[in-house]
Formats: sequence, C-alpha cells, structure tokens
Amino acid sequence: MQEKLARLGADPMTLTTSAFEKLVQTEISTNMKIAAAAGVKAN
Amino acid sequence: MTRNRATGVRTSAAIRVGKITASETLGFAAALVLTALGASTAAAQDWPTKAIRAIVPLTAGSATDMIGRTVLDQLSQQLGQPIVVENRPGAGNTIGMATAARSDADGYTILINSSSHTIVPATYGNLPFDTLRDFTPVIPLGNMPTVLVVSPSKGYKNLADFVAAAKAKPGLMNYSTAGAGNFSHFASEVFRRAAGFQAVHVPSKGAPEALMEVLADRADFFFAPLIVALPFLKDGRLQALAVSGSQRAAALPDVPTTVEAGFPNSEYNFWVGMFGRRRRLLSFWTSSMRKPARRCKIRPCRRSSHAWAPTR
Repeated sequence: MQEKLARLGADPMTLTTSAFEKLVQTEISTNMKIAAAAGVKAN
Repeated sequence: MTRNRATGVRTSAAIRVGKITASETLGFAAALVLTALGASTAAAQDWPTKAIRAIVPLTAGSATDMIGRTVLDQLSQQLGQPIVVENRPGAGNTIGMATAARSDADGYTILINSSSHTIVPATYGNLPFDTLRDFTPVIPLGNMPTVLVVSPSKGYKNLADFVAAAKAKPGLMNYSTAGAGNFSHFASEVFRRAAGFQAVHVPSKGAPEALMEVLADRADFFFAPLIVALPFLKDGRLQALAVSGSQRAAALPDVPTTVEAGFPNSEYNFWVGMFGRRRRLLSFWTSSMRKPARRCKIRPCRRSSHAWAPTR
C-alpha cells in the first residue's frame, strides 16, 4: 500500500481523526488570512 | 462489540483511532475510520450492507483520484462491498464537494478531496455548502510534497541565494502557478511573504503548464507538485531549492524544507484526505471519545466484525 501510494507522489501522513480535524480547521482560518492579505480569489 | 451508553449504538472498540501509531499503514488507518463511519449508522454490525459511494471532485487519473482509488480498492475488498468512485470535477473541487454535501449523512457517501478542501472557503464567495459544518474530516491518506523549482541556468546555489537574488531586483521576479487560488498560489504567497520579497504572479491553466513556464524561462519559480516535477528534476532540466511542507519529501531526501533552509513560518502543506458527512458522525465521535468503553489496541482486537489485517 505504502509503495503504491509513494509511486503516486504521496508520503505517509499519520494523524488521528481529531488531529486531522484540528488541522482542517486551522488551515481554513490560515487560508482565509492568506487570501485576504494577498488578494487571492479563485479563477 | 460494545454498546455506547450515550447513543445506544453498538460499535467496535477497534475504532479507537487515537491509538494509531506511525507504523500503521494508511489503508489500515482508513479502514478503521470507515468502520467508524458505518458504526455511526443505526445498525453498526450490519454495515456496510450496500455499495459505498466515494465522490472525487477531481478528474479520473489525477493524483487525488489515484490515491483515493488505491486506498478504496483495498478497503472495498476488506469490507466486502463495492466502493463506487464518482468523479465530479470542476470549479476548484467545489462541484464535487457540493454533490457530497447534498448526500445523505448515512455513512454510505464519502468524499476524497485534496487540501483544496481548506482553500475553497477562502477563495469562493458563495459556496452552496459550509465546509466545516457539512463535512467531517476522517483521515489523511497522504502528504503530497510540493517543491520549489527553478531553472538550473540561473545558477542559484541554494534557497537563501535565490531569495537574495529576488530581493536584489524587487518585483522583477515572477512565478507561475496552476491557477489563481490553486494551492501552488497559496504556497508561493506564503513563502514570498515569509522570505520578504516581491514577485509577480503569472497563473497557468494547470501544473504541467506552470512547469513549462519555468522550463521555457518565462517564469522564475513554481511551487510544483512533486509528482509532476520529479522527471525534470531527475534529468536535470529543473533544480529543486526546497520543499514547501513541514517535512521533507521521501523522494528528495537531500532537499530541505523552506523552514530548514532558513525561512520560518514559510511552510505550506498539501495533502489528500477522506471526509464524511457531518451530523451522525459528530455525535458518534464525540461520544465514543469521551467514554472509551474498553481499551483495545487496534491490531490485536478481534471483536470488530470488520477486523482489518494490515498489509506490510
């Protein structure tokens, strides 16, 4: 499995569900700030 | 099986994902969580009794699609039910996300998404779903390294050298991306601001096109998906100065992260992950985590009707 995923460019990312949930929340707020600061909008 | 006192739902003690260690395989972890998805429905021991639908908001053959299919194939064999992948590409993944958000929260629809999942709330003004409320993050399937590539003809010795050159000619550098609002755009902006230099954004249609801009010397740099850049790094037509994420890429062990190369707060991660639908999962997870009925390590636990033998 790991080898197959590595061939597709994926490195292991081992997070529990609660840690993943926190990451998603943090990233959304960080991306909001980046988008506001850099004026990023979708195409 | 144990019966959760709060919900009365029978669940397997084997889904205590807090016990997952680094040694477990991705598929193994994903299987546990899918078991949890099913366990959130009324009759956990009977889950799954029908095909599971997996929505991929990107084209068939994309990295996210292929990673999703690799994990889901194995999962499907283990669960004894088909997992039907539906590709719903378009509008920066938001078409597929909207499709998934409209599905029943019954444990039979999952979403395989890239970390664009966390970008679209910032770049689309009027989404027909609430990213946090409508989806439950289940588990990441893999980290997708992103690599800062330049033309070797520029002669940069390292990342600091490149940044010094960018600072020496303010605003004259430009960078390509796989489109405005794409993660490569975010990675570039985060790095540029952390390193403190000006550069002009030149969006392309996709990652291969953005890479061509650097190869043709029309763009000075691009934060490229490793999988797209790797052949050009191997034959020396591109030079890798750094990896954008918080960890190095397994395929490029000698290339530092931007933080390791001396630029704090410059990391930007890209990943592929699995999401479920919100409501039922939320109550299941919160109750199961608050009250661990039985301590049972994942692998030796034989109580789960979906016991998963990890592949090594």
